[in-house]
Amino acid sequence: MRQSCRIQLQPDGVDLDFAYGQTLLLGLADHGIFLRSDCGGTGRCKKCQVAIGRNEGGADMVNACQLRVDRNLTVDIPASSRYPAYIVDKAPLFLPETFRRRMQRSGSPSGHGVGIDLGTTTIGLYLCRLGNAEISASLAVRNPQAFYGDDVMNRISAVAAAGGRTEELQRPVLALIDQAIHRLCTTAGIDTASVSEIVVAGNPTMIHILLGENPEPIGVSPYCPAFTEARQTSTDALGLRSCLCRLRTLPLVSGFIGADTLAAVLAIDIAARPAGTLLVDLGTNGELVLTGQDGMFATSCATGPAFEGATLSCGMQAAAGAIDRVAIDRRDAPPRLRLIGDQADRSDIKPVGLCGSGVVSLLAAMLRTGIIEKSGAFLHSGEILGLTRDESGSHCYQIVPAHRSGTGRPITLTQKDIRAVQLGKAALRAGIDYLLGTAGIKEPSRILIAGAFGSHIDAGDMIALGMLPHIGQDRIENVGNAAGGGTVMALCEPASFQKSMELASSLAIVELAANADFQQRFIDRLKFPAPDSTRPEKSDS
Amino acid sequence: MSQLSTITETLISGDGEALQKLVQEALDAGIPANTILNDALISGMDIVGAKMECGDMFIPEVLMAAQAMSESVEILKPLLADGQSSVVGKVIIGTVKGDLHDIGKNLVKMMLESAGFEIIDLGVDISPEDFVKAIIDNKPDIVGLSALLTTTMPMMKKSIQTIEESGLRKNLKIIVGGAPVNQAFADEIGADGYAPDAGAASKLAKSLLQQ
Repeated sequence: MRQSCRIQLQPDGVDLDFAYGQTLLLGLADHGIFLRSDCGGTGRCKKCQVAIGRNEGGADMVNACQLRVDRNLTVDIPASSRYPAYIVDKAPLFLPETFRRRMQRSGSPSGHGVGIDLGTTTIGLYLCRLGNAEISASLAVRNPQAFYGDDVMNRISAVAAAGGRTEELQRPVLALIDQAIHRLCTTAGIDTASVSEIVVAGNPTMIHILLGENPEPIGVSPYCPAFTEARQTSTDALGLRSCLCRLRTLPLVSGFIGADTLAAVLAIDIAARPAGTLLVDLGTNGELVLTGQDGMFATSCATGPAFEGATLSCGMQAAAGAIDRVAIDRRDAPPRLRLIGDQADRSDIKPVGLCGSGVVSLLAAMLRTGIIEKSGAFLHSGEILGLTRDESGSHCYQIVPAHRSGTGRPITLTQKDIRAVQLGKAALRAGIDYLLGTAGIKEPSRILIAGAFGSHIDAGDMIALGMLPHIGQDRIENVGNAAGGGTVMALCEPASFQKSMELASSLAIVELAANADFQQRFIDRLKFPAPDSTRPEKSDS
Repeated sequence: MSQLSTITETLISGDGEALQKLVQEALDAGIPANTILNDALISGMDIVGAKMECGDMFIPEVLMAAQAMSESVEILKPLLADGQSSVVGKVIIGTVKGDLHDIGKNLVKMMLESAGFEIIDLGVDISPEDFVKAIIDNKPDIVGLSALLTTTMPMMKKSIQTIEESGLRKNLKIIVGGAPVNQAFADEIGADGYAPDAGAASKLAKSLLQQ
């Protein structure tokens, strides 16, 4: 009988029981130990690597998702393989001034509500006073579904693998929301019983899974959601235990344009802005909304998590140890780095990987110094410090040597990583081009960048990579978390909730996937712009 | 034979006009058409494939090279004796049902064409039944299934199952590819081969036919 195996965790020596044949990744999760699983446990991303004890015949490092436990093992989990702490920080928020003024006039505060921006990667929660939209407490927590992979398609596949049942993905999110609401109320010094209203925004897949609706139709052509209307249920019916109240979700528009995009549009009040205003919401995916001469156009582009996570060999989310800015002075000089969490009190922090804004910053620097060509290929002549080959023989650029990195392995950007970024940036830019073409607008009059990832990137770097049209940087505005702002507006102001429904029916959705013209634009946009034409424009000062 | 190596280099650079001129010059200098095809163009596309595999060349450059190749093959075609231009094999290719993406599939198609395969491209969103029908109609040596989305990968398995159930699997090789696909998945669903990119796909197709 080989019913179970024993896993001893090093260095602390804790023993855990595993079912025979279970993967190490899933077995550890059963014991509450989460590893990174950016690719959804398919063995592709190599982010869940652990060290297996040498005397058990293990290779030094193995992918936990591929190792079936068939014997007793000792396992050492490096910090770089652990899934970052659930609670990250205070959630940022963008609220329009007009809304703030309306709320100041609207009179006395009456009860509390929670606005939830349910993202693929991050969940933002805002506890506010319903009468005046004053934020009493806020939290950003990591979406525990990341365990099933870092994009919505991975999550849909996980539901499909469970025979269309959503419970497995729904349960951890509900549990986390409950925990977060408790924490918010404790921070604000109120009783959870005084939460009388919840409004949730999120992409269509997240909203489907939250409500227990099967999102599978979104995953296959014609990529239609199972429903689009704003829904009303109760915390009780959904299985939330922290409070007892009404819970509403904002409407969806299409398979990939959802409540989160509508919330962002609400917050930036795009309807009141001049024609040619382009909203670029860059989260785990890219959503675009453009005001035309008559009406609004929206599309989503499959940038996917192309700039971080599973797609890149040393990619990671913007957590402690992530490189988020890179400067290269000369080709023969080592790059200078800025790290997330690199503050006076954390001077011991070592670089672990590259987050999205770090990759964009690095590539822009490599283009400017000519380390890579317009085509994205490394320049194969001239002295370039750090240009080497990885074990597969592909060229790569070493950013941090092994002895200085937090993983014990060098941090590099490979030629294939650059190709992955090119695919993502071409999807974004071709989407922008195509949307502009559909609306009959030559160039955007203004670009508003929203979203967790988007708001950390330097606009000049985005232009340098050709992610955005080359307009003056004074016409590009970073609005931060607009979706969170719109959620709070819909929570506190019935008129805003109503407006989200009107927006849902007035947005014209532009489909890209099947369009031959879009595909040609996509191929054209794979290249980077010529470096000399992309120098950030001189400011007027 | 520096004339041939110049042709190869020009093909890799993707300069179609210059390539056609060089091919014509080589013909005028008396080099046989099949020598130009095999020793300069097809061998050049092998290099393109290898460069794509390691990432040194990317989609736009590979497309330009493949385009240049097919233009120059048009010049050679009438001059090739019967048998010299015969195809090395017949391939049916398509993106599986539920998936509308075809850039990757088109690249594989062009690389295979460049390697001398006859390609029947069914397009995108192809149901298992349509693959079966096309196999009956065309009797290919190889069927290539493409999927870009994690969510349409199960449709690859379904397609292979349907082909098997129709009794068409004998003497037929099935290869799979697409961003979310890997060798382990290909093995799991019973495919005969997997290639991570179009360059590798061309090598794979050739090696499968030699078996």
